[in-house]
Formats: sequence, C-alpha cells, structure tokens
Amino acid sequence: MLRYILVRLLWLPLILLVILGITTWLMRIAPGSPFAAEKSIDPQIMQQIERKWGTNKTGWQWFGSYLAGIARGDLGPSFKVQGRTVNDLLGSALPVSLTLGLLALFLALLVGVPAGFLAGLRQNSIWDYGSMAIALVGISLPAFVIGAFLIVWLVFHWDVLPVGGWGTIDKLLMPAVTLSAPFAAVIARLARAGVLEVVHEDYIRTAKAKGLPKGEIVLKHLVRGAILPVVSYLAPAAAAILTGSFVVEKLFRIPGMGMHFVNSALNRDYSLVLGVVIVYATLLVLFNLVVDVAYGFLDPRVRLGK
Amino acid sequence: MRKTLLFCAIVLTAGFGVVAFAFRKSAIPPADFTFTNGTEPKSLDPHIMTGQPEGRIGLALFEGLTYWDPETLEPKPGMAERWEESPDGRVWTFHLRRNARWSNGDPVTARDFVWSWQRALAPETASEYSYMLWDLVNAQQFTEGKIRDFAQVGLAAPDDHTLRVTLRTRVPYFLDLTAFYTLCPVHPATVEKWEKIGTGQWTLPGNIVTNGPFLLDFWVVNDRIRLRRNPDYWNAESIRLEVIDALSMDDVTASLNFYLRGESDWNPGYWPASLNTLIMDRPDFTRTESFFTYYYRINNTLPQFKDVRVRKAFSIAIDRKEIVENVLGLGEKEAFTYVPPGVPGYESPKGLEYDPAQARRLLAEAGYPGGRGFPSVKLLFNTHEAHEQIATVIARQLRENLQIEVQPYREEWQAYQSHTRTLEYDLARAGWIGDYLDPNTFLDMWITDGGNNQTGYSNPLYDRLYRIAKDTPLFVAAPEEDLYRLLVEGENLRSLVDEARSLPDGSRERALAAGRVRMLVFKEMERLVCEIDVPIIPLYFYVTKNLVKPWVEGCHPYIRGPNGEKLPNVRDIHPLRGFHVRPH
Repeated sequence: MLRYILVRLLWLPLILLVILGITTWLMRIAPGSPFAAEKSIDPQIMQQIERKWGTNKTGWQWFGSYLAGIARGDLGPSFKVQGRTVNDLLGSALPVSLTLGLLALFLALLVGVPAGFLAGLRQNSIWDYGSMAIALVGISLPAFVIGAFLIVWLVFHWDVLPVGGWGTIDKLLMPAVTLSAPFAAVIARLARAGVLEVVHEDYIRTAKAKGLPKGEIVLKHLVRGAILPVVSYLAPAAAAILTGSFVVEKLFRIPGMGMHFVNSALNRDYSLVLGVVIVYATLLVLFNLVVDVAYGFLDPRVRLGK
Repeated sequence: MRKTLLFCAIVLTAGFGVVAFAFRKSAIPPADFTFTNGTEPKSLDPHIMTGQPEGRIGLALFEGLTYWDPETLEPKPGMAERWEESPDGRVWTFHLRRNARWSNGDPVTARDFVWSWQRALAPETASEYSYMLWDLVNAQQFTEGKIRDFAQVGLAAPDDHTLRVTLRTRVPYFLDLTAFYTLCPVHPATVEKWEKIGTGQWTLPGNIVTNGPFLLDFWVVNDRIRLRRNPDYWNAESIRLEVIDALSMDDVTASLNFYLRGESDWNPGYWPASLNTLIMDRPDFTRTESFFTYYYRINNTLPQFKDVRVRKAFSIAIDRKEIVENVLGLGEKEAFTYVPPGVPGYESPKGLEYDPAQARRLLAEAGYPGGRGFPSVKLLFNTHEAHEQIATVIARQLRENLQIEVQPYREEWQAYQSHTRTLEYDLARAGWIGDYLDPNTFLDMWITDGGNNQTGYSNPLYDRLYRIAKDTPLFVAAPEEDLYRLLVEGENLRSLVDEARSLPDGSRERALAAGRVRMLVFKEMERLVCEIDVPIIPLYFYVTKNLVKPWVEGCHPYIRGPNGEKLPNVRDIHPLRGFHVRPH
C-alpha cells in the first residue's frame, strides 16, 4: 500500500515535466508576445525588454532556466503584473480559491449525494423525476446564468447579500452556490446510477434475504458500493473546483486562481501560465491518487499493492 | 447509523472550520472614496505604466514638474514652483520648490529629475512611453542607442533646485507633458536598490517611495489598491480625501453591479455597451466628446486595395450615421477625418462623406463594376461585443452598396494584434487615443514603416510633411518652394511661412507663427490620410462616459477653459487629487 503510494508520487515530477513541456511549446507557437502593447514598440526597445525578461532565448533554453528556477522553488516573475513573482500571485490567489472551492465541493456533496440516492432508491417516482430534472438544469445552465440570476434576485431584488468581493462570509455564499451547482448535478446523477447498479447485485439480495432492516441494508451495504462512481468523479472535480472558476470569480469579483488561468494565457504571461498549470496538474494527480487509495477501502474487489 | 451521523458532523465542522479560518482576520475598514478602476494595473512604475487604470494611480502617487488642475486640466506648478521659457520656446528653466519631499523624507532635487528622465529614456528601461520625452535635444537618439553619453541630451541640473531643459523646437504643450506620468520623477536610491532584486519590486507597498499627493497603503492583486493621503505632500491641505480604494475589475458587469449597489462611488465607463441605452437616462450619468477615434485599417499591400479608388469607394460606401445612431447611440460623432476635434488652433480637413453612388462609380472605374470580380473581404476585429455589432453593420452596408462580400471574424487580443502588425488581414478594426492635445499624437503613425502604421501605407509627400512638422522653424528659415504646388492649401501655407519669415528670428512671435505653419502642415497630412490616399477608414469619435454618485465632487466631464468657457474633457482625465466626498 505505502509502496504503491510512493511509486505514484514518484511519477508526479515526470508527469509535470511532460505537461510543462507541452504547455511551453503551445505558448511559444501562439501568436503574440507577453510584451505586445496596443502601441507598437520600437524593435530595439522590444529586444531590450525580451533580454531583460529572458524571453529572447530559444524555447529549450527558456524551459531549461525555468526548470532550474523550479528546482529552487522559484516560479519566476510575472510578466504582466510587474513586481510580483508567480509565487506571490499564486500564494495569495490559491487560498482564496481553496476556501471557495472547499465550500462549493461540500455543498455539492451535501446536495448531490442525498438527492441521487433518493432518486435511485425511489426509481421512477416523483422524487426521481424531480431531482433528476433539477440536476439536468444544474448541468445545462452555465455559471454565468446561475450567478446572474442569483445576483438579480438576492442582491438587487431582495437585497440580502452583498454584490461580490471577498473578505466576509456573506460574500462567499452566492459564488459557492454558483460554483457548486454543476458539480452537485453531476454527483446526483452519478449517485443515482451507482444506486441502480448496486441495488440488483447479489449481495444486496442476500442481505434482503437475510431479513436485514431496509435502513441497515442501505447504509451498510448499498452506500459503499453505490458511492464508487461519485468517488472516482471527485478527483477531477476537486482539482477543478479547488483551483477556481474564471466565470464565477469574474462575476463576483473574487481574487482567486480562476482569473489567472484565463488572463495569464490571454496575456501570454508565460511563467504565470506554467505556475497555474503546475498547481492544477499536481492537484489532479494527488486527488487521483487519493481516490485510488479510497477505492481500496470502499470496494472490497480492489486491493492495492498486492 | 451513528457512525454515519458522526461522519457527517465531522465533515460539517471541517467545512465551516475552513471558512472561519479564511476569515479569521476582520474585514478591512472602508475607504472614504471607492471607484472601479478597470483591469489590474500591470505596473505602478511611472516609467513603465501605460493605460488609464495605471495612470489614475500613477498621478496620485507621483508628481512631475507640473500637475493638471482637476477643474481646468491646465498645468500648474508641481515639483517646480516656477519656470522661465526662452523667447523661441526651446529652453525651459524650472525652479524646484524647496519643500518638496519624497515619502521617506529626502528632498526632491533636480538631480532626481535628471536621473529619472534618463531612466525613462534609457533603452534598458524599455519604457513604452519614452517618446513623450523625445522633444528634448538628442533624447530620441539616446533611446535608440545612437548616443550613449547622456550629457548630450538636452537636460541639465546646474544645481539641486534648477532643471534646464533644451528642446529641439518649440513645443506648445510642453508644460502639459511635464504633468504626464512618464515625466514624473522616481526616487533613485530606492529604484536602484530593489531593481537588483527583481523588476518592479520597488513599486510594492513597503518598498515604494513616492512624491505625490497620496501614498500607497496596500495593493492586493485582482482586488484593490488602497491610497492614503500623504501628510508631507507640499500641498497636502488641498487634498480632501483621506483614503481611496481603486478596485481592480476585469468584468464590466461586475463593475456596474458594484456601482449600482453603492460599493463604488465612481465608475469611469466600465459597463457592457449593450446597457448604454438603459444607463444614459440616469441622472448620475455623464458623457463627453473624447480624443479617441474608432477606425478601420485597410491592408494597402493587397492587390485589390492598391488602387486608391477602391479604398475611397470603401470609405464612402459606409454610412457612419447608422452606426452612431443605431448601434452606439451615446452621442458618438461620425468621423470623416482622423484627428478628433478639440485641439486648440487645429482644424481638420473635411474628409469624404457618405456617397454610395459615387462609391459604385469609383469601384467600376477600378475595374470592378457592380463588385464583380472583387475577392471577398475578411474583416478582422478583436473579440468584443460592440466591435462585432459594428462589423456586422458595415459588412451589410458594403454588401448592399458595393455588392462585395464582407465576412467579419474575430480574434482574441494577442492574435489580433500580431496579425495586424504582420499585415495578415484585409480590413481590421482599430482605435487610437491621443496622448496629448496635438495632431501629432494621431498623425505621426502614418509615416512609411511607422511602428503603428500597420497598413503598408507609404507616401513620400506624407513623410516629407511629417519631417517639416517635426522641425517647423527650420522649414520657415529655409522653405522648400516646390512643396507648395503639391498641396491643396499650398498657397495658404506659403503666405503663413512668409508671414513667419517677416518676424525677427528667435522672437516669440516668430515661434508662434511657425506653430501656425505646423498646424497647416498637419492639416495637409490629415488630408492625405482621409481624402486623397485613404489608407484607413475613420468611423466615429468615441464619447467618454462616467457614472458618478451625487455626493462625489471632482469628476469633471467638462472642464473650465482659459476664458472660463466650458470645454469637453476630451482626454477623460480626472485626477484623484481633485476628488471630494460630501457627507451622505
């Protein structure tokens, strides 16, 4: 088990290296430059700028010196927000996105899992159709629609919540709900599918045959199997939700990672792009590992490291 | 069952624990005045910054030799308490005020200015706005690396409180330039100390040393910049706001929401253009003419656009009225010329008016009767709702009036810029904001191979006129007789030149007369661009728009002119030093 985890962790640097290499290549072939401005810059001045920031090097040289920086724990300077290092920017944005993301993930599970279970256990009932209809809406409506509706109602109509920003708990509610909606919907559908799959398994029938009370069957036997699809979905979901959403952060003006994701690419802010890629890729790999380990506990058919 | 409940309890507690932990610090106290400031400033270094959000902060933190009076935008004595101008307007002697201090207590000296302007000009600094200083003798050559010795540049500090500036030629708006942020001084020791550690590090809160009316309190990326009144500023009693918050906001909808909910007291035009018609009836809405032209570039290097008749046909086949009235609707003015109105002493030529019949004739003469045989045209714009609407309307107009197929397409900002620069387009949307109130800020871009030309346009006559505009006194002293017959208003130019020549050399009158010659030269240049060669299609002049809460004073869409008249604030400059909030 420990060995399994260790081996998976050892893969992480290699995975990151490949992802960073591909990202660097994509950035270099994209048109534009981190220093392009609306007014044209004298070619001589442009050369000076590129030398100052080291972007005059070939892609390979630049990548090499970037990796050397990472080895020292230095993600480099941001080209666009001058004076800030990528470490600074991520250091202030990541906690914001983590907080919001954890709350949203929590909400998504709190709503999605019970709704899915209810739908699955009462298949083809009004509960099933009702919760699946809501889930369909949650998946189909993009965040900027849900968020805008929340703002119109809760802020402008009923005047119960602040319009956006960061710093107090009440400012967190609308973005967290908006962020969680599509995830809650997917979780509900997965949980329902999980229940439907497990409900006809032999071991559930055996439990029924033994005359166990229904509540005990559900909690002891059914949940463990039915939750598996949700658990495997949680890895990519958590990585995505914890690194923030551009739309939600823009709409509610939250200084999180999502903004950096999109803006750094639009600005061709090379080191910031790589910085967010590192964070996202690392989280993704780690959560996948956590899920695989959790499988070992939840699913008796899976045993790791044997 | 109990286990499950316990598990839920743990998860709940953990969830709320995270939230509580994140907000363990109490919320910051509110500012006296909060405004939405557009996208996150990319730098607070006055020599590096460009753009309005940066400029608002830059001129609150730093002060040049002069500063703009918030009500008139006239340059007032700032770091310089007085100055003398030589009769021919070429040599300026500034006397620095003795009570001007940096925020660390050091006096602001003439040497700081020399050091700072050298820094702004130096190629290593890579200042995008270094050209704001190029009126100084040899300054451009210094930036271009042709001159290495800064002593040859027209700038000297005979003592700590005297700064002598020598210009190539009289620059009527020079005191206006000295108020601009690129010409603000920086604290040499601070910059030197931190630049060794990392570019821009010196501008971070705690490191930065400033000399303006406000101090940098804190700066949270993508959230806000907080400014605090500088009690040691030489004119601190004129500053009435204690704490200002500049909110960084990428999203125009969020910007509007913040303003509508009272979380921001001033919104300088950041809202979705589609809401203009809803907003323009509000009592707190203001709009002004602006020094900003919206136009289309034509790729003059393409075979189908090499013929000037085709370019003219395109320009006069577009009904600008429909665009300003039906698409924009904020009182934007149709543009038939390139330089927006508002430059004192300058008058634009007439330009080419809408005439679809003539457009069809021109196109037929060029070999495309009824648009037959003309390749379909692709119209590039950068991703933006308003650009798309305008492009759609223009494509339809060209299709109807010229029977030419026009396909609008979008590209994100970087790709759009890169493709415009490399001339990989047919027609491309563009906009230009003047940096200072002079036609030069619009017309210097159309010279052959000019960095901002990006159309492939080249006319030796235009380049020649530009050279004359750059040094009119020289032209007045030695006029080029053959030029007059090449120009529409050649005879007018001749009489203006003769008038200037009759005045004594080195006198103020002669310098002013040369200034009038210069304006006429600019008019001929603009005529080439808008009537004769038509490398571009001017479409409309922007309006600037503001939403200001009724309790805010200091946002002046109209400024007071020299004779007390009401003038539009065409440059949309609203210095933070002039703001004031009434109790509400």
